[in-house]
Amino acid sequence: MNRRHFLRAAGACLALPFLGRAAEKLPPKRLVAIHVPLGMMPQFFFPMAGGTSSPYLELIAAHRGQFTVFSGLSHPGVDGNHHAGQCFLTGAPHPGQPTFRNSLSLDQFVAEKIGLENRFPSLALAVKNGDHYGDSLSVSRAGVGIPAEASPRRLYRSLFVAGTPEEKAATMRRIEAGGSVLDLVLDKAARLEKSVAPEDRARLDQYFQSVRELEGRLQRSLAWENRPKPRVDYPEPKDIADANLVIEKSKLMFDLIRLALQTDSTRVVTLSLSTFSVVPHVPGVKSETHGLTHHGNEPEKIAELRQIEAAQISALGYLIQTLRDTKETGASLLDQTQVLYGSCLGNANSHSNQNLPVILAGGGFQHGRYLASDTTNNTPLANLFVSMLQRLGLETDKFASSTGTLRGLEA
Amino acid sequence: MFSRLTFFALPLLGLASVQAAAAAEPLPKAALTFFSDYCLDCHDRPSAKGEINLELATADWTKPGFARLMERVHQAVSKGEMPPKKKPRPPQADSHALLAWLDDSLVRKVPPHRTTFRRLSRAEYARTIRKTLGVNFMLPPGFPEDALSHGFDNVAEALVLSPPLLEAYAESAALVADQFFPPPKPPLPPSRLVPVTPQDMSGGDAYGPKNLIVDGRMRLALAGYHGSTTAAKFEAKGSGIYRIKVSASAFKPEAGQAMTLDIVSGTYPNLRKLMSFPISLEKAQEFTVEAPIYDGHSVTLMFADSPNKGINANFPTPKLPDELRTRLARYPRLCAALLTLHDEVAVADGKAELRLRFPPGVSFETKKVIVIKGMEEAMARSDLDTSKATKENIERLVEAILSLDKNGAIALGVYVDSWIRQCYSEGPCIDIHALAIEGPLAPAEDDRDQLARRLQLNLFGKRPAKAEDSAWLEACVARMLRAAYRRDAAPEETRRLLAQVAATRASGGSLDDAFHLALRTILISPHFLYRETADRSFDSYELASRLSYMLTQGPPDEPLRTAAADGSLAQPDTLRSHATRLLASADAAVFIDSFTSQWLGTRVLPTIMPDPSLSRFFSTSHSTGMAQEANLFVAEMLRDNRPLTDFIKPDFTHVNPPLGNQLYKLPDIPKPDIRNRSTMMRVSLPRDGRPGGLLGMAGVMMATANGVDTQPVVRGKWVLENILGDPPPPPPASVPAITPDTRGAKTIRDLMKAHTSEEKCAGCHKKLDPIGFVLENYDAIGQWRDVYPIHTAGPKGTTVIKPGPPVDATATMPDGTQLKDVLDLKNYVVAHIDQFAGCLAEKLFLYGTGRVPDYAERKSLHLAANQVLKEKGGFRDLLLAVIESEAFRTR
Repeated sequence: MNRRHFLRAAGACLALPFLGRAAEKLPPKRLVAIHVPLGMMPQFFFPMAGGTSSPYLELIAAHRGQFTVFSGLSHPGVDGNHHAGQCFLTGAPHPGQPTFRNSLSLDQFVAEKIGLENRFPSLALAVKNGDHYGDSLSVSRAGVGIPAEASPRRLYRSLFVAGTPEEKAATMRRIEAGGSVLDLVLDKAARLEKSVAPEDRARLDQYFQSVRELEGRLQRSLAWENRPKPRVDYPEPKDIADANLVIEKSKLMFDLIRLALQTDSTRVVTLSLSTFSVVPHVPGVKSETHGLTHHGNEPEKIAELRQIEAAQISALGYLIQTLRDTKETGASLLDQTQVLYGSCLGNANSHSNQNLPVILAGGGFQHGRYLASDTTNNTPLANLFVSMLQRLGLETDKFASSTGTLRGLEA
Repeated sequence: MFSRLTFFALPLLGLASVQAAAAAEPLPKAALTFFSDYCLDCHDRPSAKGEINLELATADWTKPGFARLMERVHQAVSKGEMPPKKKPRPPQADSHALLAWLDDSLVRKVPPHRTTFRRLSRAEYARTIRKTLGVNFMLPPGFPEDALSHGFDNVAEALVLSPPLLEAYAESAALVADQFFPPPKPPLPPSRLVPVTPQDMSGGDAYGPKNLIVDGRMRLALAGYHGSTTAAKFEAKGSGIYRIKVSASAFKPEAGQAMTLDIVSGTYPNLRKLMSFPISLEKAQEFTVEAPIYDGHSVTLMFADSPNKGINANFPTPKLPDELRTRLARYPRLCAALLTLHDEVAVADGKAELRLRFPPGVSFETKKVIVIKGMEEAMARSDLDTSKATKENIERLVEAILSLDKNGAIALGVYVDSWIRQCYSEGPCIDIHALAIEGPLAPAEDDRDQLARRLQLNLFGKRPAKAEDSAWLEACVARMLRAAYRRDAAPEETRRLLAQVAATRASGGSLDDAFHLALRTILISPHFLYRETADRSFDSYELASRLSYMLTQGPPDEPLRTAAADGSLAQPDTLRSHATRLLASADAAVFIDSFTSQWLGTRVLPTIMPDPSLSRFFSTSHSTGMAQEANLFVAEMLRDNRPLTDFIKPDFTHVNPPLGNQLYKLPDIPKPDIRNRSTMMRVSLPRDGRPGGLLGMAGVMMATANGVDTQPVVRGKWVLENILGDPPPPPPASVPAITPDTRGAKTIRDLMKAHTSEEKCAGCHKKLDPIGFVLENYDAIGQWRDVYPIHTAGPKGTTVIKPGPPVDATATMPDGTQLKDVLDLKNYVVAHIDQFAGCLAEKLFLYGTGRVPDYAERKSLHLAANQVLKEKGGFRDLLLAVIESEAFRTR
């Protein structure tokens, strides 16, 4: 009853999708969710009433038919200004309150359903300088943030570079070793479980749940470790050391996201694009971004901040372009990939968490529109999430604080 | 695999529902009448203002939601906040009857809370591993973060477990087990000879020119590691004995003085000296040593006793000024050359200082180049006036070198390179001509083997002659369990782990393999990862753990374990003496830092990047000074058992010169420079002054702002939660946000009027806003201000800051107390010190037990706090009173 042997056997016979499968069947549906923690200045982001474009949207006008812009959306009860960032994909209320507990994020919910066939059920990524709230958008069922990968080089290596035989053996050893202890502790914990007070049972349940989930994950990793990694025509990138090259860092992550989706290494990606503690190398910018967002309506600061936000929106245009340019079985990668882009700050100057800037691109929706909701009584952002989930083929009519689907958004 | 059945088939569930049925009782007449006469206008089922519905028929005290609702009613009525002022007042007798019923029911009928399984926090986990097993352990990068609850990271409810965290535990457990039982080493590769030319050597000095190669030799000028050179292209493949051959000569040796060349290996600062050689001849000599080099390490050569010390601009030592004087006096040409690069700049009271001459706006790197070039040119001049190298000028140069530039950066850095250049030409130096390393000649035990041997000896004792000595095996297993579980192992637990060890052996594993697996199993067991896991009862071991983790963030030490094992810890006197003992130990610093930095919020300071326009001097010295001020202040409050009013109006604080001189502008604090910028000093304060105490600390004020502007509501909320113990509920949905405008048209006060005029906001904001307004005198970095700055456009897109409207710090507290400024607020808190004492007792309880006290516990904590005040006790008395409280000791 040696655990190692069991796992090895399990790994060998665990069913894995064929890598060539994408060509045989319809291309899979994917989700990419991007959060910009400092928001977008509403006066430049949202179209005027009756229009469908705005100064920022003009910058990506070439793709106007590929995305929809929304206004009047927010997460009910999600307040606490910068604290709200960690709730962008969860909608868990009152992140600034002492008793706050986060909840399952949209991407993890999706990954549980459509991600298990891939080498990476999901990827949590970040562009950041230092640690701030909401560096990772991905949150487990237990409400724990899943650490985000901030190094493009490490990401590339885990996606595409097969380790040396020694590295591979070490990984295998680690995975097997992890599995081998889990069984033993389950036995111990089960005995503890018999004697605990009722209020502690939930805690132990959490423990068991984690053990079982981890066990499943280790088994899958073990199986994947024996399969070759996909080869891509893209050199291994170097990490960009200068934190102020935030736009360049974003574009590098976008490239890797495209490659990860294209090779079907994953179908679910989150990315936090933080400009905290950064003086972006953007013409006309000489101040730190967070300080600029507290512009106090000073025109000079607004002008500087506008340069930064415009560069961020243009970078989004780059992502849309690169997904559009990538073709698979007749369609573009963008058609199969929902790209959600937005912020939990509606207006950084006032720290408002209402009227969030949100864009949804690709994924096969009818785009090119401006869907405006009531700016006083906002529509739950989670309604958009439900529409997205359904489009991903998940049969669900509820997520977090949703009250339905988002009206007006059609496939 | 455990059975799902056991989860649901517990007989207790039936019992709980019986209790629930019995607990739902009809509301007494006093409550029914009170609610319908004074509350239901707003708080009936349909309107349920503030989400409070009092249209109730029965009271079910076992429902947590009901108990919380009744607590809020009790609080609002007892403080006279409800019914609101404009509604009819209930007669006192009616209020008293209601309050008496609420109080009695909340104390007697609500099932007592207890701490649930409490997972070790990140810090506790790392410390526990280090303390129990004696290994080196730091949390690996990417180790999942803990969630905060009520501002603390050790609250049971928020310490959840998730698969990523469990995976991190499993990997850490393997790393720890590897330290005890290192993985088998691959066989040593065949020996080879690696010649290392000076071109293949790197400079150890990160602050100077690297690879200074003169005439094909690597020249070592500065003493110690910072002046050393390392064979960059060599890396030992496997730990073994290597033969090291070095050819070296002396350059401009001082007469009659041999120089010492040290051969070392390792990574700084863990360097092992392999051999020392005396170098005295100016022609190359060859030296050979055979010594162990560990896997992955290289060989480093250093000039051990050079008279020229390296200068690390980032970590100047206290001896630095003297070293500078010695060097400047020793080399008059250096001194004279430096002088040519300086201007005299007039400063206060007719004095002049030396300042380096630079064109405006050049970067730090450019400055370095300018100084190096300037030095080279000046030193080359034949007419250099060395008579200027006077004692007086040396002193002035030392001052200039040690001064901080206006951004708090160090001017010293720009001098360092020019220093080293001069040493290379003046000597004395050691020249390395060649180096050759041959090996591995034989295997050698390395640091990992030595560590493993030591760890095994500590945990298991000497191995018996017979490997299968069953008594010894059993003792080993029991020791592992005892170390990790913080208590003696049950015979059953030992037996099972022994069985696991036997099973590993049976399937072909070695004894080391079996112990390795056993250690890893234990380290991810719930008995290790959680504390307070005893079944139902709270035993002495649990209490020992609770006390120890509270005061040292680590597992109980031997005396505590003994007191737990013999049951004496149950005696309040024994508990008290252990608490006092731990508080006096060095480990208590961890408690001070962890509790203080979370209670006062100073932990977030490093993440705040203040707007540079707020101050031209702000640097990390200021923010680290703030965090240390809070820690040292609380530590002294505890050590000297100072009265609780000293938290608010103390006669002392601790500052470093940047904080004291520049931010607080205290008298008699020296001007900051690189020698003193991180030196904390205790200062006396007038009790009626602005700085000092929790409401005068820059760190608290900075942590409750965002680095750019201030938000009165945030500070008001912070004070209510952490000083007055009266936390407000979350704001209602869709509150209109305030849009700050720093162009000067409106003050934050004008903008916030909406909060007190709108009825649904007024309830809380009449408590929040006055405190926030009074604290408006502190800007976003805690600097005092009398006027708000106005930002206007200057020439060429710059921003000009001008004084704007005065800060209006007057306010009226809900009870009608008028406040003019922060002094009045301090006096207000001192007048309500019982509230502060109760609040602090609750925070300590929360930190210690990992849960929020329930109504009955709060009541007894407040009583205990009042008793401390009555007996003129201090902070330590309060802390001990919390530890001695029944709830802390029993559940």
